[in-house]
Amino acid sequence: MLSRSAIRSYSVTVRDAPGNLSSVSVVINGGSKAGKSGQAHLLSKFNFLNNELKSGLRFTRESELLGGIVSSKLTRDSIILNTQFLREDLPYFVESLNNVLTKTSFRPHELSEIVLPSALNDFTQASKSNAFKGEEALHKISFKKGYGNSLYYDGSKSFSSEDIKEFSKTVYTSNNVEFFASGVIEEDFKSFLSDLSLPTTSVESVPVKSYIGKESRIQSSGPSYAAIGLPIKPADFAKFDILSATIGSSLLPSSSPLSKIGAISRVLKYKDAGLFIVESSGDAAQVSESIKKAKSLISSVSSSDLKSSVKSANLLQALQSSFESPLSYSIDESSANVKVTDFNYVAVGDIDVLPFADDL
Amino acid sequence: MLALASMNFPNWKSTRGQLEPKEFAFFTIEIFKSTNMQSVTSIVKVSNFILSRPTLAKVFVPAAKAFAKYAGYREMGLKFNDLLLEETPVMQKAISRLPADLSYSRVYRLITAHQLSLSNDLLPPNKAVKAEEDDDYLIPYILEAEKEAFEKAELDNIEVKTK
Repeated sequence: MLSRSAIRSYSVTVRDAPGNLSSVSVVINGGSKAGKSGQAHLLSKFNFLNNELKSGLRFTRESELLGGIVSSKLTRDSIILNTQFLREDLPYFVESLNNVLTKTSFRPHELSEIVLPSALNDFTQASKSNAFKGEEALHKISFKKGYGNSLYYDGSKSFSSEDIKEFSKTVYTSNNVEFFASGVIEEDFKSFLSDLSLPTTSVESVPVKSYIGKESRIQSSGPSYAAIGLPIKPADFAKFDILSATIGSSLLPSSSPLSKIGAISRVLKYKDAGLFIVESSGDAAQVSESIKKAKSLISSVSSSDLKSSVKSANLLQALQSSFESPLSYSIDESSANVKVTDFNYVAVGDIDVLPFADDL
Repeated sequence: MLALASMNFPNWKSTRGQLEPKEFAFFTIEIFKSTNMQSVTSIVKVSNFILSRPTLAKVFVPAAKAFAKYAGYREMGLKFNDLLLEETPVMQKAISRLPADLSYSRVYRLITAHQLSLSNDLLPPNKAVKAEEDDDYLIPYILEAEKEAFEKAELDNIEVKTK
């Protein structure tokens, strides 16, 4: 009886799928927004390493022999454990996910020998791009805390394996994980899950605060990057999808007003907030030109233009929605009214040439 | 320290206590050296077996104690674990995983021993390493590194049979 009530406390979404392929994902609400800056990245790297029952090497070799694919991905919102395997291997992979969530060893030498080099490599690779630096800065000035944490561990702060273990205990809790299983039989999946016993401590959710009218300028070599960003509430996702579809979205590569001036727009959607970005990158003089034009374009969008893009906004939503993170808000003409006046601004690269926010 | 070591390494069951296995491990390793059995894992296994049999322990433990006492490494400021051959990949790995404080004091003891060797001297009895200070600080790390190495070798030579 006990295990039954325990199962109910997990959020489980199951769908059947044709073919012989199954996939199980665990979405843990504890991405880089949670904990101290960089902690979530290190935790994500610890997943699928040594646990009390099996070494990381043995698990890797075994899952290779079974033809499975496993990965641990980090986003600002969550750590996502993803497994893909043949239908008959469901018990093996559910058990391995269970081991990751409850039995990871967090040995000190794994941190220095595997986790840190791999995490720092992620950071160095990503930081080579000025666009990434700009996006990070935009998050920092727009949210400060939570979503404003840097996505990756940058090596500036040192964590012990004990710190990461403690952090894992605060995020690997029963009301903080969601299971998404595709191509499995629901009863089977739930019966395998009954072995999983995560602590039930509730996680305190930090209210999201956003800030507008900030600017950040970072001198850096490489192609220049400038972006206008606007932190938005989940309730406004529909409005900004429409705006993005009207001026030109990175997901719809057709010719658009923004693409003509060398810029593009995106709407980053998180659980408790979002970020609307209009960006341009390349040669500094060209980027200055583009971002100025983009600014005047955003402020001059007419409501009739917005209304005519409702359909493409729906397509945008469908393109971004996935099984693990479904987007369910409705987009219709009532949301076709948005006016961008105040915004955040970042310039990365040759900041002698790139304009200031008040020059736009 | 040992309590801490056995807490961190669930597989390393310490049979310490009244039986004083530190001299004992030294004794068995010295014996095993002559039979060319190098793995510390197997030595620990044999030690644990002997210690689990009171009759065997009654014979071996006093012998081991005397052996370690007259081996003289403690008068050079060393612990037994400092004497283990370190020029193997497994030992290099084990040593590199030592926490900073243990690693520092290991190096300090080695330097002390070198200095004593140069000056052809021994530590005065009150400065020599005492029997109770002569702990197995490195053995748990060696066991873990050996376990990994054995597992890797096993998996590298794995044979897959289809049903």
